[in-house]
Amino acid sequence: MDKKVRLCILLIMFLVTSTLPGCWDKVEINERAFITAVGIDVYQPSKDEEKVKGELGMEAKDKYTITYVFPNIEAVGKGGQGQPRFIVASVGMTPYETTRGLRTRLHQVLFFQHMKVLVIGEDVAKDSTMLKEMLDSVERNNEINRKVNVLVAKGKAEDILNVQSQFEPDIGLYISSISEASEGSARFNPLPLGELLKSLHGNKRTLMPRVVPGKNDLKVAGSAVIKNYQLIGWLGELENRGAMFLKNKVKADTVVVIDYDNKVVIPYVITESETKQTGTIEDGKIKLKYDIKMEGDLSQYKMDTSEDVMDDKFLRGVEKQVEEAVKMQLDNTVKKIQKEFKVDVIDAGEYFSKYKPHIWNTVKDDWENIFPDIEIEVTVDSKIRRIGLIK
Amino acid sequence: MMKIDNKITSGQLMAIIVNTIIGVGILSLPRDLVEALKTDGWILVLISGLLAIGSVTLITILVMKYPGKTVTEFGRNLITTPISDFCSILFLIYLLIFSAFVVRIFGEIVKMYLLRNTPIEFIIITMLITVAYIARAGIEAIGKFCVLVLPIVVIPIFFMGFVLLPELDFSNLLPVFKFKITDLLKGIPSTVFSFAGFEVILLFNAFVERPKKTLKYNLIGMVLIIFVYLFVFLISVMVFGVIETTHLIWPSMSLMEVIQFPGAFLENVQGVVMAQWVVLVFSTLAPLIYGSALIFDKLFRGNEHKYYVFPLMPIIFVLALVPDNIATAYDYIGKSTNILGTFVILVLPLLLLVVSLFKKNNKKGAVKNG
Repeated sequence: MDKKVRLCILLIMFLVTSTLPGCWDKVEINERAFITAVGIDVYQPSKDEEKVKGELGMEAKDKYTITYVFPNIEAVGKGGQGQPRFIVASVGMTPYETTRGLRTRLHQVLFFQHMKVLVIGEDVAKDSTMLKEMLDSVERNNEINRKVNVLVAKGKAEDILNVQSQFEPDIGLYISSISEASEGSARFNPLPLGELLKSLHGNKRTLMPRVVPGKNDLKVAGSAVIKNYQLIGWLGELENRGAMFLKNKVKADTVVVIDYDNKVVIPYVITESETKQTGTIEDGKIKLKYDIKMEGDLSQYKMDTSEDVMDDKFLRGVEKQVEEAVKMQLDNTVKKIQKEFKVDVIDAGEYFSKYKPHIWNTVKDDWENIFPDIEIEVTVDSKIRRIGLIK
Repeated sequence: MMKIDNKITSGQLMAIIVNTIIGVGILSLPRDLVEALKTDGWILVLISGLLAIGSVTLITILVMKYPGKTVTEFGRNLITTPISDFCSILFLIYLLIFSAFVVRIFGEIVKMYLLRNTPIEFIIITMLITVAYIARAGIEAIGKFCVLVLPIVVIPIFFMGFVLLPELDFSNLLPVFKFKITDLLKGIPSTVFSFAGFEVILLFNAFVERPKKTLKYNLIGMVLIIFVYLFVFLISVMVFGVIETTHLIWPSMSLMEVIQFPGAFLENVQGVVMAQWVVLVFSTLAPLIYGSALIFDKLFRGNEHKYYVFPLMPIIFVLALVPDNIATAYDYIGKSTNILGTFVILVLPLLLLVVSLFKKNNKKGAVKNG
């Protein structure tokens, strides 16, 4: 009797555990589309297309064209066939709705947790409402990691994602690898989503890296200047380096100086750089001083010239030239940022709010108008530490 | 004499307190602090922590006078049965609301991060049934479980700091000491309640085997919590900065989106963090629900809390689903802790302590007189 009861219980347990468990959220791995890159553009309707009246009676006009890139899992493995990646695009009024709309055309579920890159089209960045809408949607979505690299495309984001790279078929990985390797160059400023949101929430302004499409490759260099959630202009590669110097973010780069006496071009490789800021207020005028100290190597001179490179005096001379060259670039950058864009993308305001709160409290409400007129002074000090293997 | 099968050690009581307090409050704590005091939020943690420590000392001194008895029992001796029972009922309601809130936030987060299509009712029911199981098993099981869970909860929090080192911007904590005293005072109530949960001492001290060390262990537990809270606040502010932290509903949860291991062998740590956090919520809920069953039991002068665990489940379930959305959920818990929480944490222990001192003196006086 006891045994029978026990057997019965066992049977019930077996039945329950084998039939009842389930999962509402089950999505098999082969049913997922692992999005690696997303590009957002402004939707441009063709001329004969009529505006569609939405279900709400209001004019539902598509605003966004969103391009998604995901690898073809079957082609990635050994002996895989077919094209290495898929690109799909969809249009809609909001980014989220656009993504959902794609479900009607795609057999896979879009999965964003492995997303690497978000490319924002130039037109979207120029429209503050769209940029705000889009970023809010991205931040609200818990699937999208705060580590995603955000870039602004020169032109359309779609063109960037359509680039057929010969190096790496997956455009998302391609761009994110470039961003990660940025330590060798200060020509652009890698910007994870978290950083972007942080500076936009706080200051409405930031520098976003620029990506330019090529024929078979693309180039990440320079940056887009964002003011009031809106793209107002571009910084070139060298100007961007200047901004990076002022933000103390330069890790390595090369400065080229010309020795006019001997007609020699000398590349100076920066190995270390540090920027110190000091802000003061004198007679109601705010002064900001940047002290840049850098160390580096001389990596090339010219064969068989009369100069002895391994000579202190000569090296001091080169150092001086480097200092002048860098200072000139920085002055140009400062001028452009202050006078042309009139926007504090070098985070001078951050510096004052953190280290000089008593100054900041007097100017914080009107910083946008004060920043273009503050006095910025740059001093550069460079040291050549190594000259390679030969004299 | 009441027969007690269950015994816990002071260390286990400490683990229970720590787990009960950390719970879900830690998720939104950095935001509350930043909203109140900006970069100086850590001062608020210290001050509220000290206040909480004061309250814990008070409660512990009180319960040490009545070893082997819960507040529902010894309260009757002190402030007459009807008043004491009324207070116990308020305590019960407070615990029920508290557990309902915890389980609701748990459901919201699991739904948000893991199970998007699963109905929240289902997530809550499964959690409640599992908690009911351990709550029925009694204090000993809960104590042992909390001791097991404590390192799983606390160590990863500190480990997170190391993983996030490259993301930390220490200058985000500047400027320091630039706050108004009025803001500080305004911030204290909400932060003190992020330490709520230690009032379970009122009930659980009855089961401590050698209660002499209880005060010491309780204080160690509180200090540990202050450290955890400080750490989480500092990390959140260093990673997100002041303004971004105010924009996040659960800054502590969002931290895990920033974590990236070098070499990308683990791309998203969400799964790991969630698993750890589910265990933490479980160990928060178990003492709360066991505590409510215990009060129920003692109100009826019973000796077996088991029968009251399951009848409480529907109440908690309904309470958890009363708020229409996450905003009202936080609103309700804010209001109820302000009233009931103040009563349970401060008024009730203080009242009992004063009365107990008075009564003791009375007795002594009576002896002298006689």
